[in-house]
Amino acid sequence: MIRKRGLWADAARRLVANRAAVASLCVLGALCLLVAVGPMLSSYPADELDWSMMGTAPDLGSGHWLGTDRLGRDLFVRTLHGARISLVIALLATAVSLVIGVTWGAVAGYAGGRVDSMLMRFVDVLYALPNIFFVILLTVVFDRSPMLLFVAIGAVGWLTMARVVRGQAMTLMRRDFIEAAIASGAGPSRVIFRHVVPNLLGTVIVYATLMIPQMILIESFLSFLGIGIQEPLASLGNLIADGANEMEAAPWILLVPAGCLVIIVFCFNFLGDGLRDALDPRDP
Amino acid sequence: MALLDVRSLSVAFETPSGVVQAVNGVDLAIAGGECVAIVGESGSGKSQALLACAGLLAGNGSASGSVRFDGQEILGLPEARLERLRGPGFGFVFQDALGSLTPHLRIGDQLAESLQAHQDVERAAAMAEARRMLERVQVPDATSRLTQYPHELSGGTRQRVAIAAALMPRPRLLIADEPTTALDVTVQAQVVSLFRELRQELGMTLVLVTHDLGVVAGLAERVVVMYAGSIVEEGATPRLFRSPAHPYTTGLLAALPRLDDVVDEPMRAIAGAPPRPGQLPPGCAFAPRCERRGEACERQAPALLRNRLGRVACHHPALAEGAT
Repeated sequence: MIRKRGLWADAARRLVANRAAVASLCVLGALCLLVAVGPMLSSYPADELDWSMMGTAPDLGSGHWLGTDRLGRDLFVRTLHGARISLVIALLATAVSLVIGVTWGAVAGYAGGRVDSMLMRFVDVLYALPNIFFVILLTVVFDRSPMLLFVAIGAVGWLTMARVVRGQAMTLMRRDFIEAAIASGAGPSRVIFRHVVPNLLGTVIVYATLMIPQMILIESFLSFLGIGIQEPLASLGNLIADGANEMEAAPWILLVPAGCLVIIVFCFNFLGDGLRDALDPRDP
Repeated sequence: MALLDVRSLSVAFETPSGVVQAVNGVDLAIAGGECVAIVGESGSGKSQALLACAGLLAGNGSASGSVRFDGQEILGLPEARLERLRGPGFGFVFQDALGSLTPHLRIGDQLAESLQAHQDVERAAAMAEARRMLERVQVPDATSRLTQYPHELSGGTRQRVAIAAALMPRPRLLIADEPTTALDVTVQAQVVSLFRELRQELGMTLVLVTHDLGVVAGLAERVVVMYAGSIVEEGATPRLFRSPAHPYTTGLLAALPRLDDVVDEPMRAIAGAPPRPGQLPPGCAFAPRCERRGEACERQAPALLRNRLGRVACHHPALAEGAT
């Protein structure tokens, strides 16, 4: 008997064959582990000021493996904390945009006609709102908090997802199996969530993977501007902002978090690319 | 009383180039337990007429007239009521079995799904029913099929699975739209005999939409011939095959290649092409291609008149002895 290969097993096989994607996956896995347990390895907490060690260069002997910032806080620990917050916000924001965007787009694509027009015009209106302006508005009206930040980012991120999903759903709606499902009496929610959405998963996964680095960048950008994560909490964005001020005197304060950001974004992009090739082999 | 009673059903589609009339005033009654075939060329409106009966027209289509299923008017029924009627009321089998099975669902899930959409059954019970149904439609090795995906099955098996999916909610009326067209001849024969057995076992009412007269001869008790959106002839299968009254039916039967034909003889196709919907000639729609056309044919469309042997819409029907 021929060994069975499902859709996902096939995709996994193609993904494993892609060296860049596998390497990215390993790096990301290691990074996540490091972000989770790394701060415990160092003997310094993230928010302790060390007046005698302000702005010291990376040095394995002192225990400040990647140096300290201008307030004498350990950069290794702070970068890991920052990466943790950046990753968590990006993942949550992506999850939020995924849920809203997929539902919104699938409903629009399923319903078509007037409902579709209304839903998509609403998306167009939100698109037209300047993103940063919207976030600044939110931070003024409400208080600054990491929670608000991820709501604000997520609220913007789902728009593109909704468009992508709606387009895919519209093409799926013309397929015979949807007609067959409707002909056998499946209601709208059953058709959408059992027959349309699972068929979109490939596209959605790829898009989500490529969305995570965008979210990290947006969060870093907002924190860099000072409207994101606030001190003493660290995020990659405000660490880079800190570093930019000391760029000439102590370049490691900039380079460490910036390098971390670059690695994360690179890896997610490579992984997304690999996933796209794995899940959609028709379009190399 | 008829299970499905269609009265002056018309279907129109709104397209960018204007309104296209796909079905023009079809009257048809189908009794419970009957097997009726609807034949005609592509574009004769046979599929659209039946889709309209289940409220399944595309978004730009609209139906007028009356369709009563078991005494209940279907046209104009809200979507939610239609959904409840569809599985247990109508079941559909489509031409493209692979296309009509959701690709990411395993066969078992697929079948259980179409049952669970209508009945509050446990998953395990639905799966058991799915296995029984696969055995009933003679899918070999039913248990292991349950965990397979549609693309792993052969064409014939897929069509059997599609039939099983339609049968899961025990529909009172099964509508099969070109169920054998995509299959090769040996598998066609198997599917035809499967339909025949299922009818005997379940007492199911079957409407067969097809252009394959061989399938019709093997299954249907009654044949309805459609041309350009209207019924042109209707009658019991043996009579219709023996002595067709409408020249179009005659042409269809003559166009059937036969194994005992002389090989060098050209195929007897009906000359010309069917009229485009929306550009029907003023008189009989078939007149431009008809050998028997007369003056009246080009002026006035013939009415569908009932005689002792069925119904025919022709000014010059070829009536066998005993008709009128």
